[in-house]
Amino acid sequence: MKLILKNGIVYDPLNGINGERMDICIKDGRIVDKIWFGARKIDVRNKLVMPGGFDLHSHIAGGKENVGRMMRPEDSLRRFSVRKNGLRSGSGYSVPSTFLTGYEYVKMGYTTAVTPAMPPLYARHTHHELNDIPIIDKMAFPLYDGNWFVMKYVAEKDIDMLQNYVAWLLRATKGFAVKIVNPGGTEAWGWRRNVKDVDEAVPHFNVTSREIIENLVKACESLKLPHSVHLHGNDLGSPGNFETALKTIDTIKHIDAKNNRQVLHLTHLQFFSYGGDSWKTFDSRADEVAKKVNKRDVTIDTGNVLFGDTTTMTADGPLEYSLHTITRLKWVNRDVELETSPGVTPVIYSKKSPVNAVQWAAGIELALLIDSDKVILTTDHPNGGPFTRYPELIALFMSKKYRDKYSEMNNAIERRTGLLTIDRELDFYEIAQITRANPAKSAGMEKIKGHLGVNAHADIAVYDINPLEFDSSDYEKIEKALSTAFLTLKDGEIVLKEGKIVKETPGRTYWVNPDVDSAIEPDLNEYFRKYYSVSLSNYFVQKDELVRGEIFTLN
Amino acid sequence: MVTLRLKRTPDLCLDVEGIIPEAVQGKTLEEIEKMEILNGSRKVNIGDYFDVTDEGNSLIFEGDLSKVKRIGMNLRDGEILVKGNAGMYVGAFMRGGKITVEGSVDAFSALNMKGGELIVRGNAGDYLGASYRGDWRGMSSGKILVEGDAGKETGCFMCGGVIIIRGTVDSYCGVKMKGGTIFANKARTRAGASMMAGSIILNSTPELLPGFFFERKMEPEIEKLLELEKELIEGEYHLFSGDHAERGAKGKIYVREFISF
Ligand SMILES: [Zn+2]
Repeated sequence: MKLILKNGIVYDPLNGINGERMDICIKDGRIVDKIWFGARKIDVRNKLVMPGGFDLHSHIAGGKENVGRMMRPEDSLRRFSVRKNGLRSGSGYSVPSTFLTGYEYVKMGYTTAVTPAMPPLYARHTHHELNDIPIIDKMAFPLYDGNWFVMKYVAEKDIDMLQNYVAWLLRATKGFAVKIVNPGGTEAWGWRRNVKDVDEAVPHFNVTSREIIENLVKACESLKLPHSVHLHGNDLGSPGNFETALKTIDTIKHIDAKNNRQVLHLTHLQFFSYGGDSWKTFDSRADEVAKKVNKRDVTIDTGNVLFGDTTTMTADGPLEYSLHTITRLKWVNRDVELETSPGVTPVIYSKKSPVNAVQWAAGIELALLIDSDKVILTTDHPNGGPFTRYPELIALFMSKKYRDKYSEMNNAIERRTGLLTIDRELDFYEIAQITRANPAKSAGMEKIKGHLGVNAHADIAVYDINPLEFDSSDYEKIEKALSTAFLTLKDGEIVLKEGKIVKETPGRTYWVNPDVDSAIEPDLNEYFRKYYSVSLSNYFVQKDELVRGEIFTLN
Repeated sequence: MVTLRLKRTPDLCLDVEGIIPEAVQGKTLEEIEKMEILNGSRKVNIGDYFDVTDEGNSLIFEGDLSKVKRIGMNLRDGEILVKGNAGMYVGAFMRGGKITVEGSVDAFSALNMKGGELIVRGNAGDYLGASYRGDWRGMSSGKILVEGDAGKETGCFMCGGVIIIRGTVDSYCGVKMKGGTIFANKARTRAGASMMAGSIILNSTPELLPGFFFERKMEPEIEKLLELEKELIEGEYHLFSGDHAERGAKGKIYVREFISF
């Protein structure tokens, strides 16, 4: 199939294109230089054209995501859609069901999303859910944080075996990258404790959080994985935790980048940017965290908080418990054997709460203060708010007027954050960076995703707004235009037209398949026999369980 | 105004969501006959199942409507009269207006009620005036009166308003409640389980959960309710506080006498 999108205003940061009027040529699902004849032409004159959105961190499938759906039937009252025009029904506002998840992303012009915290033992479940999320391309990051194998090899300083295990688990779970959540903390949680600092030791294992991070980063680098270690650090959400965040960022300062990308990705950094020593003195230290990020070879995603009712779910069991003790709302904790311990609980971010107002502002501060080639937009869906609210967030990044208006509602924003002192407004080029180029680059997929150059996948979003006549004070217009794309193309096919899904295709699931040395087998056999509730042979997710699995390599 | 008389009992339940006074107001009988309702998952017209006449001075449903769901759901204003039994979700999510049912209602009636009045001359099913499944923010205002009996978990997660059961309420009435008042002539076991606040007045019940502590004997001091149910609430009651299985619970249960039944 051949298609030309004509006369759109294109933003494509990976190719340095900043608001140029140009044609995009598509052939057989890829972008090509020129098409001489036989192409269908669509005029998108004066419309905003960007690569399809790329969400690097969004809890859309897996064990705790499904727990969230089960424990929040009332969430389905707030958003549901019935079966029509060949589309499946779905429900859920903060925890949407699988089909709805795909449709909602496509509606916003997003074409790729990562579910970033897959307990290895729930890998099969996760992939079966990912199979059911239509249209968009997906990836899953298995969790390595409280893993007994990891801690054993780190304690023994056996880096070869660690690397071997990392590779084996990626293959076993059909995972894409190494995710670490509250390193050591979730194992400590099994003893009703936590790990609050990078140099705190994990009970019963002779390792610290710092050692877990450093060694996994080294393993990741020598395996040449496309994405770096994806880290949710220690002490998320506590007053004064920014100091831990600064130390965490520094754990990699002596490790050189070898793979043409960052060596560490820090996720939902907003939740690690707090000062003060109690909830009463709680304030934003986003400025200091941003300074540190700008100095080091890392990328970050923001994890913005938006006001309203949402569901929190992380592999950080102790954090979810402490949140539950504050809100006293329903709460679930799961113990995943040797691996991790996620929790789920609803939360309501209130405009009246000074703590929530600081969180809201801190996330926006990070987006405005960190170099625009390092930031990625997320809400840590659904933890800070559902991904369907990204357009609101983009409007906040782009309009000082909008932020000022919001800021009137709670004076904590002026007293406890630096947000009102920042005049910067992001432009469409920078928005394309933080929602397209940066996540694709950070994931090591910049050859095929996140840009509109030759040979890229023809995943494209067209929005009904003229960026050249753009006025940042008209924030409602930005929000509205970005909420519902005019066109979304996936692999060169029009999947959404004027806000309506017109075609449902199965998206890919990318995974990596590094080499594994058989030296790992005796340890695997021993641990599975001794400690696991499942046998080794039932653990491995088979290739054909992925409806459209694709092995991704850096070359 | 309009009477909808059920022609025959449907095999699958009918769902009349949206057929409320404000929707039929100003429509001709023919237009009302053409309004869409659901039979199972299939769209049908009102005229397929109901005779539509302009009798009465409110919106009236007539016949054995025990297989008709969602009568008066989302009602904001106006009156609905049901001459007969009604199915599930009568007056669910209602914010105002008045619904009177001459027969009985099924489960989930007045679910998450925010205002208005529901009067049931017969019995009510389970989850009367309860919160929607999973929600911790239940009925916040309004009044429910049941002249007969009511089912399990009546007023679950209730935050405000009044529920009166003149007959017997089944177990777990007022479970998890955080406000408002429930009165029942008789209550089966475990009233007020995990309640945090609000009041439950019971003329008789077999026993309370161990999380309730006896405070003193007194007359219930809820004026509004006394006015409403003067004949039934009478004499001295045992006041209990609880449910102390929950931290900081400030609920009250008044019990006149403990009898097994
Ligand atoms: Zn997350």
